[in-house]
Amino acid sequence: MTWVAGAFWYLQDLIQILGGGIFPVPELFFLAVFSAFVAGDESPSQALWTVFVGGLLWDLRWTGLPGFTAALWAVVMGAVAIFWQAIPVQGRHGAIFLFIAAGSHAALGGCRGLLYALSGFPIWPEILWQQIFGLPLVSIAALWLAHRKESEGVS
Amino acid sequence: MLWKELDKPWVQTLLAGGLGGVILALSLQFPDTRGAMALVGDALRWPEYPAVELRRGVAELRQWTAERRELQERLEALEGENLLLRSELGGRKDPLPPDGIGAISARVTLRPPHRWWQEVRIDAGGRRGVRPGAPVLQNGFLVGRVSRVDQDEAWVDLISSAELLIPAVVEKTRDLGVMAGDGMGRTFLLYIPAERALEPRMAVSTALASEVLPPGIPLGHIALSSDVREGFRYYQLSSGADLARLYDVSVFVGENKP
Repeated sequence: MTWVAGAFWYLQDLIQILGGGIFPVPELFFLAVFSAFVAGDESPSQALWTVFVGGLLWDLRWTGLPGFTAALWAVVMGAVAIFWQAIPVQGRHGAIFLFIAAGSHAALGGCRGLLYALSGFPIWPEILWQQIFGLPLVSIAALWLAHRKESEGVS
Repeated sequence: MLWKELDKPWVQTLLAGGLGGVILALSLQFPDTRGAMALVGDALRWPEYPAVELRRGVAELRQWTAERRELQERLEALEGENLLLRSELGGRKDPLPPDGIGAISARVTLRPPHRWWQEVRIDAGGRRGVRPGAPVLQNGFLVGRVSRVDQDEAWVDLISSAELLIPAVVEKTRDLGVMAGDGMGRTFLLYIPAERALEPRMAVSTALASEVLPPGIPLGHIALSSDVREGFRYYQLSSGADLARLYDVSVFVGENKP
């Protein structure tokens, strides 16, 4: 699953370049790793440290604050992983995933927006666009998971 | 026991969060982390190359488009200004706008020998906006008026025709008269009072006496004066148009152009 996570990190990086700083790119890499964790391809620890490493690279490439995104992604991933595991297996369906994924994406955006606001450069409208563009990605991930669960159930 | 505790997700979360915080604190204390950033940037230079080039290309395309739009706007503004100047100057020399604005070009396709000085046929008709009565010019001088219109051709009564009478004015003296041909290639200015002494080379143009024939279209100039008949003097005109070499003409289509 690591190479898929790497591919999504690369894709997020390319979108960041193409976007040209119009607004923060949706947290594609985080959502991909979270989806892999929910699908059962990664353990909580693997998912957590995968996003930590990806976040550290992201910081070194884009934010200029090494450790910030790494810690943010890792903490949020740990929290949602614990929350997901606390849900009984029968209740882990697409709608819950959609809710958790969208919530975590919003939390990440909120933290980034707060950092900018504390620095004296509030970018809340741009954060809103990030969330709007992130919603279709979350929906696609939910559909993929639902399809996968259905396939596993059939087989 | 300790390793078992360490493997728990919440412990891992705290560890990762703490490690990230430590790295962040260290990076703020030691600006040498810029070296690591440069290293990552260098490592990603080639993988990011397509996106960087694509972005550069898009930016150049947008700039090129913006420049072209600006150039187009400037060109249109200059064309408008040019047309305005032409129309202001045209009151004296060429009152018609260039082809495509209110006039169309046409070729003479038939000139019957038995009606050589009466009429010609042109290859522009109603489909291109030609209407009966429309003035026809050669090099800015009136050569005739459209008499009949088909879809793709029209017939033009020439100014040398005895059947065509055109209200005219002597530009210098503002004397009004009527221009008429004799059917033999000559044109005359009629109905000028005998006491008016018009001189050769005085310019003559159309007068404001027709809805379809705009005033101010140059006709030619006075060539010779003739006898006085019934209190009026007749003047032979020298037409500005060359009726002996009538190949291409302009037809004024005004607002009716399709």
